[in-house]
Amino acid sequence: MSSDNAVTIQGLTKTFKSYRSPIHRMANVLTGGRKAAPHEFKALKDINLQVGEGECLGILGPNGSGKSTLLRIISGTMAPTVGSARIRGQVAGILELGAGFLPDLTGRENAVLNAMVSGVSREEALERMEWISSFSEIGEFIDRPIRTYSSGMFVRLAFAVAAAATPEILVIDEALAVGDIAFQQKCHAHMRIAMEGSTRLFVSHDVSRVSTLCDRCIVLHHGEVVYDGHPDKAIVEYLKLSHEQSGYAPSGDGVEVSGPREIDIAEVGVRVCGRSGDEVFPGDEVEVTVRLDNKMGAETHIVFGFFWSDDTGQAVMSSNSQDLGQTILIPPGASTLSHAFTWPALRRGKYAITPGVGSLPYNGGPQRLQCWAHKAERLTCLNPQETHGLLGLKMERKQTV
Amino acid sequence: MSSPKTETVITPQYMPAGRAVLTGWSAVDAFGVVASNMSVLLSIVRRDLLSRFRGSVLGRAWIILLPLLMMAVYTMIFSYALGVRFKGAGGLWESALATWFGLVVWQAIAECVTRSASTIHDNAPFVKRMPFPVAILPVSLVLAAFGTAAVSFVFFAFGYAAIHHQIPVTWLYLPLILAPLLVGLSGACWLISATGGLLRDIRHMVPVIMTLGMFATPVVWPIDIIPEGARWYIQLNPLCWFFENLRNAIFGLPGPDMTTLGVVFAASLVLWVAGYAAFRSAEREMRDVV
Repeated sequence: MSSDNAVTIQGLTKTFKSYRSPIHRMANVLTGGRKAAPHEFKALKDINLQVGEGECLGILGPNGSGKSTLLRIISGTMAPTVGSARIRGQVAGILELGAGFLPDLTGRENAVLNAMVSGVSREEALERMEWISSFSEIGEFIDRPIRTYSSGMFVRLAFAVAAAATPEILVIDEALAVGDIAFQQKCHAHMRIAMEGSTRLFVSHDVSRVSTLCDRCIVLHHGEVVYDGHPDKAIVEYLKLSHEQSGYAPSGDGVEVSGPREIDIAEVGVRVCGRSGDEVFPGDEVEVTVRLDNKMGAETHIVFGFFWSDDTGQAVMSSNSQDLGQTILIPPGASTLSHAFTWPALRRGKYAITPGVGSLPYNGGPQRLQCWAHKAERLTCLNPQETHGLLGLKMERKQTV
Repeated sequence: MSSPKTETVITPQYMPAGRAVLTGWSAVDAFGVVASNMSVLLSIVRRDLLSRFRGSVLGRAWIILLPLLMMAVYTMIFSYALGVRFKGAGGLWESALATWFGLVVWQAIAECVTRSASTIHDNAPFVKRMPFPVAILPVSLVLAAFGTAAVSFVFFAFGYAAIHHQIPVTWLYLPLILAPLLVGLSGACWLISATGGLLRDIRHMVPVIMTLGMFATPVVWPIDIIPEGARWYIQLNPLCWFFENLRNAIFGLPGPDMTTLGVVFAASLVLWVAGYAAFRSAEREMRDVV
């Protein structure tokens, strides 16, 4: 029936036993399970999954949802408790970059021995070296002990060693979220272009990467597949789950607020196209509403602004009433301000807003910052257009020769 | 792609075994796992030996120097101060040679046994992150330890020839006596590493036991110094037989009794298979624990 699939998983369950102490474990093993029953934890519950040949499958899920356990079973480093995984083709896993590297050996020695340890002949391991040293771009460091490497160099070498294996099925756990931007993009491109024909399974928390790399995506939650389908929808499911799990409150409570706070930001609300929600598409109207509490005892001229940062914390866009020449006068006590803007064609990902308010003294001195509400609200940008920068542009054709 | 693809079915019984095909019979698999993965085994040993003395000024010279330093200390105490003499080794220099040889062999035994206790945790990346035939790790320790001992032995042979001006023909017995030692030791290392993988306390216990064991075994002293009535007590220690016979062979004394050798060989094979069986039954559990 599904004989063409690279990976066929049927009824896979993995139970971990945790004992009160190693003595209990020994007692349990020695009595054949009659004494000292362990506490059991089901990391995977009856998973059924098929991955076609050449498919690129993303695996998303909050922490502890069973992603790594699933990859460990598929890559053959762990046996399931119930069920089976049928793997067609040779598998290589990057479950941990640089697993098994010895710090005192040189990069070259580690690379060769690492390949040989996974069953590659010495000749083939040596042949791969040229590609590894050029891909990793670490220059003469290839012949120095890896304990002298910077973490970036280590990661470059480790990825190159893993990628050089060119397996039919590649299993990657979080490994791409490392190295500098340039190298990340290089790995990314390698995964997409050079590994095109291979079946790839990878776990990541980087949703924008998942959506650009994968054909299909599953979401795991408490050891079960809760979504299987298009990456964009999977991302939405995953983000909902992570928000639930971290107890993230959309507004008000739990937001870190700083500043002297004589004018306080009491509440922040973000609405997309007039509705509350946490997904936004380019071109949507986004309305930012803040409830302020003026404790200065009089009408006050204020400056209101905000910036949006991406999930690396980088501020990507901002607005400020003073820079726009707007004057805002608020009464003492509670008041509400509302501003709207059009969401630009940012690349896919999560963005958080940090609104801020400052007061302007009567004598016309410089503004005094009063309050920042750090990352008070978040929106997930679902840009349908593939974007290879922060912002995707719509270019217009002017002339054809 | 026209080449037929390998198909792996991972079931609850699955265990990565490298190139070996597991039969489920420990007596067969113990050989299969080691023989089929010989190249991987040798690269593990190579990796181990390469990194051993990296970064130290004297580097691999330490392989020779460590037993020599220990020999100086023990010869001073036992042969010089206490006047202990080994069979067939009359003078102080010969006693030093006998002590040197005993220490080289003991160090190799102690090294692989001690390292076995923590090898599963030391090699966690192989256990956790790679489909790696973990069972070869304890065997690699035995090979690494006796590989370095062999280097020491070459120097020993020169020292011996310098003092005695000839090498006795009884040295041909050495491989015959060493073979069951290596086989039995591998079995013991499987047993110890399996226990150590599940119970971390083992790694703290083993070094103490090995230090005591050195004095309870005729390593730096000959068994003749024990009163005849109490000698059987020392001889209960299986290692005693090895040390006495290895030393006899070195000094040109009569070789081992062939019947006893046969029994020792058979016992070492039993230990080898039992050790593998124990390791195998603990392996799946270890993969979850490490």
